[in-house]
Amino acid sequence: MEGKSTVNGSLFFRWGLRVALAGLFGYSGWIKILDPASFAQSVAGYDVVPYSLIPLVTFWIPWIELWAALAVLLIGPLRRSASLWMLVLLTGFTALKISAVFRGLDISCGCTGSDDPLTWVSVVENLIWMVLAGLHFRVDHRG
Amino acid sequence: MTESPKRMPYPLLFGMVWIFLVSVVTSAVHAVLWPGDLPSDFSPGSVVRAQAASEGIAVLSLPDILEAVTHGSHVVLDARSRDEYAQDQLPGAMSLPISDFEAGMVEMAGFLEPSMPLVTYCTGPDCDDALQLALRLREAGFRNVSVYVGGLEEWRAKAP
Repeated sequence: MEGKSTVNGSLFFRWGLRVALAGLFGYSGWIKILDPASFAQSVAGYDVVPYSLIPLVTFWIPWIELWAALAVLLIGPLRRSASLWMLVLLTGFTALKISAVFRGLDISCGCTGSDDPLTWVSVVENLIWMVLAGLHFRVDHRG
Repeated sequence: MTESPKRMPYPLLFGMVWIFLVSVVTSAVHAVLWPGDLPSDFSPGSVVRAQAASEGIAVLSLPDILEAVTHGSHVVLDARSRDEYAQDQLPGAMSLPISDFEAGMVEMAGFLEPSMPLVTYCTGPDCDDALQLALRLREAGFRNVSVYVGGLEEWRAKAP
């Protein structure tokens, strides 16, 4: 009985992580897909990407987010690869945010479409998501 | 005793490459089919300038604001908080915080007239308090309202 309950708990835990991560990345990707012009401005605000590469980043980032979300939720064989992509993307986004906060940039995050200013709170949120993505990557190989 | 088989990294990386390729293809299709245009101006303040243009609010450059300050051609209004205004402000500027608009307007009731040329500013090129203040002033009946997008940051860095 206890063993079965642990298995069920583990299953719920894995699916909870999947749904949360897919929700974040799916939503984040979709709203950027709907409004590339605003996302381009957000990318430019970080003052890191050369202007010539902004269109490339503007169109690619939302789609990798959306595909990672779909894969982690719906495509079993690609789940771990998708959660590794999420971890890679979150690491990059977090590094950018830290750099922006340190440089004192007065910009909005551009992460999920809100105009909230970029602060350390946003960095901590990212770190929590990184832990969740890492956990999913670790536990997902168990099926 | 048998050794458990090692997990090969290939499927993991293969999956990542697959997701990458699909995202590249779909983003390329999106870029080709998207009917809009990406902004061509990414310089500081471009967002606020674009919003001001779409709202029909005039934007003043540094030479314009220098003229306004030197010759008093405009009433200069600081959209930041009163605390920020107290620390530093453009020469001759008056405080009208967007966060306290109604109270500020009551204080200025005897001074501001609808025909007066007004210019608003805030911290720097990427804050939009100045534009929000300009819009509120226009709503309140002021017909000649402009925004100095460069704000205090540009003024400190470039004004002579």
